[in-house]
Amino acid sequence: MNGRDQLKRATPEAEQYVQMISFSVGSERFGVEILVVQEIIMMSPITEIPNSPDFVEGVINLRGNIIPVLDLRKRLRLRGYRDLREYPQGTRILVVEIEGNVTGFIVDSVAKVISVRAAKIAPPPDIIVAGVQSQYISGVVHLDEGILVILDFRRILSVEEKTALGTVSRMAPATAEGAAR
Amino acid sequence: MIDTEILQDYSSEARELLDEMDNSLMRLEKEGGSPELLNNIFRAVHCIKGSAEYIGLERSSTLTHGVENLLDRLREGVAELTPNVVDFLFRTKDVISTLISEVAEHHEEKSEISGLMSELNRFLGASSGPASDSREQESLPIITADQEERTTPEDGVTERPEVAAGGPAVELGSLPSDAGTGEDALGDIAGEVETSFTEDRQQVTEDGVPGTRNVSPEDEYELVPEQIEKEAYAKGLDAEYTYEQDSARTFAEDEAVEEAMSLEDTVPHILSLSLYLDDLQDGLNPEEAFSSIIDKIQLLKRSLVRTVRPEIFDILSTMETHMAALGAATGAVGIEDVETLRSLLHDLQPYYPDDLFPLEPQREAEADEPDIAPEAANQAAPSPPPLVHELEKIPGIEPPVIEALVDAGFTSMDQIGKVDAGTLARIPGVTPTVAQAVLTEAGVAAGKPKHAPMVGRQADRSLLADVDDELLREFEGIFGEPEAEPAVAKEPPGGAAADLLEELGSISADADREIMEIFLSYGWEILDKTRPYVEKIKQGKFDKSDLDGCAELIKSIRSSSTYMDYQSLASFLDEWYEKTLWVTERVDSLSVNDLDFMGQNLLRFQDFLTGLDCALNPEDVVPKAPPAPPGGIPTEISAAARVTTGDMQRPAEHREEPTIAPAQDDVHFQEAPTHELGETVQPSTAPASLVDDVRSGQASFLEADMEPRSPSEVDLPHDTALVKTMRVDASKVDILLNQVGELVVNRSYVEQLSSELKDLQRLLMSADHVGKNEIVAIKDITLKMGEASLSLGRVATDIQEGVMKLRMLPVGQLFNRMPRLIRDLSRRVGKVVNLEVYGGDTEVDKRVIEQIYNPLVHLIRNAVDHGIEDADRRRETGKPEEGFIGLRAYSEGNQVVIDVEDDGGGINAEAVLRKAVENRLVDPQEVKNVSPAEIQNFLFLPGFSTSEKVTRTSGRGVGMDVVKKDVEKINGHIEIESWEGRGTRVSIKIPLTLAIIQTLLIKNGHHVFAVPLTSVREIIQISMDEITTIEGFEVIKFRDETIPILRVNEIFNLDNGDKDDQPRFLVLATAGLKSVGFLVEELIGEQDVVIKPLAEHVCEIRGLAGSTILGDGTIALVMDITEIIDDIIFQQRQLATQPPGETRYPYDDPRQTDTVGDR
Repeated sequence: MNGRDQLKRATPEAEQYVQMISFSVGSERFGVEILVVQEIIMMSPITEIPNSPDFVEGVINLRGNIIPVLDLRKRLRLRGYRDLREYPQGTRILVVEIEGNVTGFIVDSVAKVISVRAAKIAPPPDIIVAGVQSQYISGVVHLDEGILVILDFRRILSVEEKTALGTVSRMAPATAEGAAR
Repeated sequence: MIDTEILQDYSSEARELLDEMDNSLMRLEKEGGSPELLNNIFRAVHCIKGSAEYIGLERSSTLTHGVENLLDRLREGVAELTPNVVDFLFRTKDVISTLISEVAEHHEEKSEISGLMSELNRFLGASSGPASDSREQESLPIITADQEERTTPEDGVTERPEVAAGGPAVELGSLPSDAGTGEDALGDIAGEVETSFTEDRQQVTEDGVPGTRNVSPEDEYELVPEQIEKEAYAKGLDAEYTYEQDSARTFAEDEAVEEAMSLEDTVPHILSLSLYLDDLQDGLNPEEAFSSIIDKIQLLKRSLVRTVRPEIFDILSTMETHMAALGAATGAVGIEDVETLRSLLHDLQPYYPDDLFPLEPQREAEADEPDIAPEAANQAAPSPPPLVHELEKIPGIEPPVIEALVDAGFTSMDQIGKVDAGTLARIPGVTPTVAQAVLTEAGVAAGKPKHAPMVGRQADRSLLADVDDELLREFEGIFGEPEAEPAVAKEPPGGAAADLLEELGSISADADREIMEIFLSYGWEILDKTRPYVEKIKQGKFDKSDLDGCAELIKSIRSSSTYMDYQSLASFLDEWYEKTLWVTERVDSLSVNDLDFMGQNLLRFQDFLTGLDCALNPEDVVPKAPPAPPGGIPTEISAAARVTTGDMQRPAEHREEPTIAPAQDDVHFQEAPTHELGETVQPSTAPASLVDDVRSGQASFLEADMEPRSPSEVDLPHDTALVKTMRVDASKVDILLNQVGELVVNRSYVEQLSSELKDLQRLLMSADHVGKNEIVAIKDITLKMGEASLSLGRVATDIQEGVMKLRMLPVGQLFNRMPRLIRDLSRRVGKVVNLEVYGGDTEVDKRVIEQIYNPLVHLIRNAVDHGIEDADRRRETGKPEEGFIGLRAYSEGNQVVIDVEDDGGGINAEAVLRKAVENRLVDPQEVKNVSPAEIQNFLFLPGFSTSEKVTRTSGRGVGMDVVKKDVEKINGHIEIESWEGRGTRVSIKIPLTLAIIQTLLIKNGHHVFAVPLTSVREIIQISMDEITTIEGFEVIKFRDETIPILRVNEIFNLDNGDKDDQPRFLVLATAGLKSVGFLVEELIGEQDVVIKPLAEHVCEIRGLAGSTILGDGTIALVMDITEIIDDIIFQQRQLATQPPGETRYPYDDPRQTDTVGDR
């Protein structure tokens, strides 16, 4: 079961609202369900992990816990992909807890918390939205300001594991999508 | 569903007990059956049984109960301790432990125990045969000495056991069907009943070997139905079923006895019949008495049919008819009915030979309280004064009155003493005056013992409600044996409390200290309250209310002791209480002497408390010990008390010896002191240990009366070394330990802040714009901060140490399991192997202990299987035939080393090398260059060992790779040393703890790495020209070794920036037998760190074991030296097979280069 289905099930009727944290990476706006996010922190010194995938920025000391930090831009292979040593002001780390694992994701900025009517959440389109492969997307919301892409961090983490092990990840999304429809 | 928490407690407790049992069994096998060992085992089994019954684990309790029976007989010397029995005990222990783990895992018992049970039955059955012979020799002289006048039915004594032994075997098959109706009633628990039934059968068998145990058999017979009934009650069966079972069993017993029943043999039954009549008359448990009478009559009838005595048979039939008539109104059996029955019974008299029946009064007296006051019997035994003679002595009594009394069914002064004047006066011809005189005489004649039967009996009955056959056994122990009787009534107080205190040995270990202390203080309180009463009683100035007060006090402490599960104490108090009640009722007709027991019991109780106190507070026992008994107590007694309390201190002294301390340390090889102590103590410890008592006690118990026992005998709580432990969930400790890790890290952080503050202060002081006042304020705060950080540091260090110690356990715990392993192994391979253990008290982390068990087992197995040669071979090579395996633990810096050594053949290096060449591990041309260490390293290769095993040449290697992996999992490493023909030593080096490791911090560029200090062999300063290159690899020659060099930044593909610092240090690290040197730019120093996982859910990173937070909050990565070296070797090998020109850096793992997917 993917996050999309869960989201739907959790919000069966139209009048239910889902709270989202909206953030941006590059020019795109993304949303994530608020319950998944443990906290949002400022950039802190990152200790590089040698021999790790490029999107793994390293680890940080979060009040005595060592958590890995991933660069979401690199992870999602978004446009504007660049290798920066220094992150601009406003860069935040979105600390997400998924299945007991706490992971930080570097995002360009965090905007606000928004409430979205569950009914307004549309399934992800077949094609790539905002440069993100649809396997990482659990839904799309059309807001006045534009499209909010709701990310599925569970998949972002798990698919990444497969890719990190160098498997046939490139084919997998297509077949998975095909099977889903 | 059973409460899991209880189950957990049960299983961990039971496992400990089983370990203890295992040890004792090992010793048993080696040293033979000393009572101390048997007691140890018994205690373990009994504790398990208790808990198992409590939780309702049918199989465990059945099995343990059976084992208890077996042990009981071993203890009594009834059964012989054959290797088979020991073997059986071992297997039983295994099954119990299986059951326990099943319960722990699945919450139910799955293993079948029927096989063991039937085997057990065989043992129990078999043991009675030879046992009776040996017992006979012992019991005969006693009988003759004691009962000279009797023509003792020796034939009966010798014959019956054999019959009884044969009986159960025959009966076993048929019985369950007999019990069928009962089982139906029980519905679904029928199966269980059958098991317990079998168990009860054993009980019957056991008790059905009557003569063996006692001076005369009747006691036992008397006991049987009661005991069964108690058990039945204990099992919560309904009364109806009880009786069915009961009769079924009695029936079984009958058949066992039947054939041997001669006229003489029936005497005991007649006696018990008369006993039951007494019961009936006294209204004591009429139902039980009633059914027992019927049983007895039927039994007698059956047995007497064969003894050409139709008259007796007829009388019995009449009695039965009577009983049947009465049957309808069990509750309301009038005295007349009993009289009728009694006279019928007396009609039997003519048919018995004179030399048998005239003994009846005396015998009856004995049978009267078979389980209580054999002392009476013994007093009477030398010259049994018939009732008539006794009565004749009474002033003013007329022969007709005597006759009337005798006719009325009184067979002893005892009995008369029990009835009141009114009853006597109702007997025709007895006037109230005479009755009074008779009663007075009865009181004098029977003396103190006369009330004992009553009291004991009542005590006995009152226990029926909450029976447990252990209690019963205790009663047997306390009351049933003539030898034990003085212990109750007359023994000097010092020794008297000894048997009570004995219990402490088994209970204190797991009893909650706090509760014990509460109990103790309550005990003292009660004692103090009771003392004034007893004083008054002693001086003869007392009335009923004083006794009532006493009784109340005794009663309250009795319930407490029951709660505390001090069974012997409880039964002692119970007896005391009943006795007190009894005297309270007869307060007017009693002399001061009759109340002697009050003072004695008080002293005894006091001694118990002293002993308990001593066990609880070994250090401050002296002041509290003899709270000087107020004046009235005879000096000799208090002297005795002092002897006792003085001796009580001895265990306290012994406690200082490490040998006694925790049970788990009790590895027998080193523990001789405990053993000796146990030996000296033993003879007096077990009331139930009949053999001893019969041997030593019988002859002397009469004059032993007021003598204080010898010190060694009193020195009971020898094994009361209190293990003051509490069980804590291991995960709680882990959490705590983790937090402590954080604390340690925070401490460093605070320290750093403090030093930063100092810097700031310095900076501000040099600045112009800061005023003086501000400077002072800042100085002040800096100082305080410094102090605070210092004290925080101290506390944190203490806490860290403390919590670390929480997890530390002596390796002895682990070693203790090995003797058994070696025993089993050496048997299987037919070698004799001696194990020696050293350093069992070396402490290591609990997790280390858990993890090291399997490797250790592997190593020992190897040593036994392959290391130690056959006896023949050993003889050829001039070694002692018995092999030797040493297990040694010692600390070495921050590591604990565990050595497993044997004196076997050692490793055959040539064979290993040959094998290595065969397996293409070594180039045949390079064979000569292979170092011994490398050869031994081959043994750790997976799959290498199997072929070795087949040839059996080297004798080492099975599972060595597994051993190595296990050891390395806990940051340990393993080394082998071998001397061909002389033996092998495998050393496992493990860190003290796993949570915090010592590391060496190294810096490379801006990256800080931590290298586990266990891997660091040496740090040397080098200059770059010492490095040479061989085939593209950098190496350095160091003390005749060529060591490959790795650059940290290259291993981890680090960007060192533009800096081109020349590395100055070489950290020599080892993993297994391989050494590598890491070129390091900067060394930071040693630091204890808590390892945390490193982004495991994100990606797997080779070469890093984890990460840790340093004092300044930065993160250091912990290198996994083993993995790095393994990878290097792997890469090198790959490189060697690759065509040249494609030189990649060895560590450049292809997996790592293409890690990012979706690109």
